[in-house]
Amino acid sequence: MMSEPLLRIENLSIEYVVQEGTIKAVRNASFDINEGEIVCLVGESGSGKSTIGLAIAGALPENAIIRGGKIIFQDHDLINQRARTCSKKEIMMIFQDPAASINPLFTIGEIMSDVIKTHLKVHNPNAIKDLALRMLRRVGLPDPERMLRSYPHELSGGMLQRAVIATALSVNPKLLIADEPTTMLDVTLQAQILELLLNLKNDFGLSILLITHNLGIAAEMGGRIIVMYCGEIVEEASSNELIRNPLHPYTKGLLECIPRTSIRYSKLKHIPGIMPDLRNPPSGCVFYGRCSEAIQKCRMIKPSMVQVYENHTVACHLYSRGMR
Amino acid sequence: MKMPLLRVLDLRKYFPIKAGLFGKIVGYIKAVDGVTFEVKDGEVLSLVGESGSGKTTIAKNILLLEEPTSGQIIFGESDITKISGRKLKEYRRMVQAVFQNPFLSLDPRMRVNEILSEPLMAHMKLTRKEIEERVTRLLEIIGLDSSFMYKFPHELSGGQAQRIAIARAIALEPKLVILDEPTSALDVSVQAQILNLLSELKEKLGLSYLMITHDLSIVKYISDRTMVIYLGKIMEEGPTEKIFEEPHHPYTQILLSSVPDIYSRKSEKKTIPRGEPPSPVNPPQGCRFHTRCPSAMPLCKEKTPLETQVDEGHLVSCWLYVRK
Amino acid sequence: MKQLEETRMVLNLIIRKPISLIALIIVFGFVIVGFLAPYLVPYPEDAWGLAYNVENRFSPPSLQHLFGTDALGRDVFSRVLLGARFSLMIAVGVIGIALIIGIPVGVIAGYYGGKIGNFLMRVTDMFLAFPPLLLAIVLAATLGRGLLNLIIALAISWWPWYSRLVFIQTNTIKNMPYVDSAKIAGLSTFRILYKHIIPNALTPTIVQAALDMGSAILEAAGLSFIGVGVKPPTPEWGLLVSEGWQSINVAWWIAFFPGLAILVTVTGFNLLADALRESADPRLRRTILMRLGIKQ
Repeated sequence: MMSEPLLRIENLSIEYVVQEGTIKAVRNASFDINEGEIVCLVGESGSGKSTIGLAIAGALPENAIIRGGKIIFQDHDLINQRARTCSKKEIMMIFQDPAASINPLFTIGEIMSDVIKTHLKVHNPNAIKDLALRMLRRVGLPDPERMLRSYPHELSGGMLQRAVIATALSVNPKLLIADEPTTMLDVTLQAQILELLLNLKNDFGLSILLITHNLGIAAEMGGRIIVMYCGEIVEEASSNELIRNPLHPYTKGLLECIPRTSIRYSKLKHIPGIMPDLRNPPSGCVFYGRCSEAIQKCRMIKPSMVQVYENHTVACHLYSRGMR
Repeated sequence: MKMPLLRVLDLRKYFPIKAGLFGKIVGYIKAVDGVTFEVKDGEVLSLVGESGSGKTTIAKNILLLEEPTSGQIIFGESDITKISGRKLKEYRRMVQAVFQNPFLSLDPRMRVNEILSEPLMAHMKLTRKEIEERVTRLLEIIGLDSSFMYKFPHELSGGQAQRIAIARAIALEPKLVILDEPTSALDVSVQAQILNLLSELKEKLGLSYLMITHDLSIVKYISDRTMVIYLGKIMEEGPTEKIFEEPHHPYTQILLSSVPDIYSRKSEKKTIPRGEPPSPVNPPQGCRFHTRCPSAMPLCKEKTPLETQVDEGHLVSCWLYVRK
Repeated sequence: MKQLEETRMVLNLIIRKPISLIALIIVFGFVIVGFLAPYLVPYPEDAWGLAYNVENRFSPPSLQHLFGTDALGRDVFSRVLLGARFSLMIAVGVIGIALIIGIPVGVIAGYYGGKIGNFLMRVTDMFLAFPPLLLAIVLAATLGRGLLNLIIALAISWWPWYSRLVFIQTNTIKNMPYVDSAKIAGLSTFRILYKHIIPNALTPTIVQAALDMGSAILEAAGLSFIGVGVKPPTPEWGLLVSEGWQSINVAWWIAFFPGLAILVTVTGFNLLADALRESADPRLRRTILMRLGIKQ
């Protein structure tokens, strides 16, 4: 029997009101994150992956509306404001551009002590400094004493992202949401940050929701992968299973068009067509317009998630009962 | 033997660092520090490097958007660093470029047909009808129908906009196209479309490419030769297959193993690079990579390594391969 | 097409907010009155200050003289109405001249940089170093009274703001990849400036200029009030207030009505400016839309 998950998302739907209309960014998304687990939310731009992350962290922009569903974190529905306040320090989020997510006018030390004061209600300056130094060391930053006195612009992108991770960790969260944390970094630094995240998971039992467009990163992290397309979850499986046995035609297509360094290829495959308009998503399968295996049913009826193998679910009519 | 189309000889570009009221020069950023290479007719050469490697500066120098501090850039027969007037215009016609973000490289106030007719009008005396015919044909070549003619860039998807940027680059039937991170701003599925289009156009129109990228994984699909650059100096250069199968330089090896790959696990990774890239203001003495190199020797700190041929056309700048 | 839609969209937003609608009506009214004033005034000779009628001086507002008459027996209503025309001329003149000087200076300094650019921006900074109103007063006093002198004085204190704005815009835009692309396409510098840089740099400047109309009117009135603006008997609002001020104890209406005209017009322009700024900023626009319950 599995224990209760740390976070459970149920039928979450989120819309954005913009000048041109209502963007149905996330529709009926459901998934769990267990304690000490790493889950990768993978999708291209416009898939709704970041919106889900922001919703969990309670950081949705003003024009976003949660249309329905639940975000249950440790038995509280976070859509309820009061529950949100209680669990604020349990969930931390880091972003793609570390420089844009922190105030450039304060030193790393000031930013960290501010976060520690607000969330942990610790006010002893020495205790705060100790904690900050410990966190900076934990994320592998050299010379943490100096780091505390540095301003964000004095640090390189990779160091700054580490400092942001240290800040997030200082309040001892249960869940870390990392939204494209390495996209702005060079590959060598990217590898360092990903390794750090893995170590944090392994050593401290931190749950991580890693949001990325890069299936390669998701595969290397080795946790569970959730594939999103155009606002909907289309497939979910362990990383090994998903990479070796993709079921959804979108996942298959995506895997085929990823450039690889390790094997020989002459030509890349690609998925023809473009993503449907999110203001008016198709009533049937979202991938219908670009799918090479589509059948008549796909146009009209939206496939629901079905479990095909253990720990492998997919939303595709090819695998619905009666078809197989 | 194919003739060299473009030869870059000992190119250097130093940016002065000014300080104080009177702009006294206090130092130089050595963005490009003695780079020599050539692009042969009909060849695709990839220039791979991380941020701060100087790869974009090299592109800007070749495109005459910046003036080199020293060195020569020879196109065909003549050094183009000092040309002007009719010769410059002729060079412009032969060498075109595609940049990373199509939404920044297309004027937001212009429609597609204006964007595409601009280079035609600058170089040829054509009637309106002839221009329209050419624009229609260009759209056809890059796989868009003529309904796109009157759209603004913001009405296009990323992939479509990048196609327009490519159409503009090939409008004048150039010999060489500089591709500066042509797919970095795009989603994977679209990236594959664009890479395939670029290979197709190369065959069809007899183009040569100089591709600048930080992403080693795409290099393999398109380029004949690859050059790895670090802090303004070339580390390794050779046929693309050789670089991928037998990377010699420690930096190339690290770069290759840092690229996330869908079939490998983080835990199985052998080399994760340490440290941060040093600043190009005061690049390390000796081999530029020695501060992060796992196999650094005392010699590496003192002397810049000599370029050594390890195989036909495969050159490495590393003391490990210099025959004593 | 796009511009038209944007304009309609912005207008829509303005009309939906009562206060912005009022501002829009005021500004429209002001412009129309400014254009048609010579044909609307009941006593044209009084308005232009050509005739006076001393027997009828200081008569309070009545049906015959809506705003009463002044110390020389002239119809204040006529003078205020015609004053709108002068205010409009001053506003358009000042902003127009400031743009004509400011834009080329900003574009040239921003695009070419180097020695010329440095020189041009230093000159701009020199002007910016003076408080603009003080500079205008000094200039107007030096040039002497008169409508054209007033416009020139104000324009000279005004243009550096635009040249700085255009300079910053040009500087950003010249480094955009689309400008590099235009160079690579082989376009001449002139064409790059004219097709790519100026149109993109100008939009925020033109918006700013439209927003500055109210301030121009106010400053002109201020200058006339302290006696360095237009010459009497020109019915400029500031001058009218100043004339009325001398007999404020006897006849409050002489100063009050032109003062009210200034207040209403300038407030109208400023409110409209706020509305425009809000609707031009997409993030603010969104909140307004939501507040109004519009889903587009």
